[in-house]
Amino acid sequence: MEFKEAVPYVVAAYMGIWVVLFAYVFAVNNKLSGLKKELGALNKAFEKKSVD
Amino acid sequence: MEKATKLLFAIAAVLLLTGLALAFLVAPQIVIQKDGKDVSIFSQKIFYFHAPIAETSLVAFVIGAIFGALFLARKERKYDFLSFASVELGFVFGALVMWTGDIWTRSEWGTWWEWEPRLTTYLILMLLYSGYFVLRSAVSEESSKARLSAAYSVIAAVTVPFTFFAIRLIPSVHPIVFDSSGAKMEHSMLAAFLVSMFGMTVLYVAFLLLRYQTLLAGEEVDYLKNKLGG
Repeated sequence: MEFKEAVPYVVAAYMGIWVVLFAYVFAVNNKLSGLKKELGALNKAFEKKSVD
Repeated sequence: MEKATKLLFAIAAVLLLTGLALAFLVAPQIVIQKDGKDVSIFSQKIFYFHAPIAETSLVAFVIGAIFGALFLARKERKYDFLSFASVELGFVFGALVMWTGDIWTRSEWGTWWEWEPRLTTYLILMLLYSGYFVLRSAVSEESSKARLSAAYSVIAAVTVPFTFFAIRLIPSVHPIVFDSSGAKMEHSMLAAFLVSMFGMTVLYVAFLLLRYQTLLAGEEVDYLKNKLGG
């Protein structure tokens, strides 16, 4: 395959890799942030319940 | 995200960008003779990330099996989480292997798919591991889910060496870059490959820690919710 013909394939391969890896790290990190917020709220609620 | 995980992601990013630069700016372009003309194989550049991702996916499946075996032996929840996280990462990396491999196959062999040993065994491996997620989502009771998926991860890992050695044991059109005589490439190409390989491994460890932290936080949330509800 000529250089010009091969370029879109190489670009597609590398773009796919970066997009998937960034999407995965973004999704997992977002989930972790959400869970930490929820954990903070639950801990406060638990402390309040213990005091009451 | 914890500081250590952030640092690992930063190291992985630096290594992968260095690997990319070495692959495109330093490693020579492969040129072959075709019908008396010099033809450059630019799509070979896919190899510098395709092979490290493939190796990392297989390593992730094996580590998933090791943690699965540890869970079965010690019954500690952390091993179930680590096994699940590693298998999930193996699957994500595996999807990227299929993606980059198919693109390379199309550009070099002129077809999207070839029923040859490496592609076929890797497809079987991916189908087998997709069953792992079906099993995990089908079982609702936590201890049964952990026990069954740990056993499954150990059994499924049997396909890993089979996939790795397939092209070395069965005649195949898939390139073999490393054999008993060493690497079949120039030093600059090997350097680009090794830097990318190391970067991908660090990225896997960073992802594993991040995913493990998520699973731990999820369990803690469930525990507190149950305690508050009760």
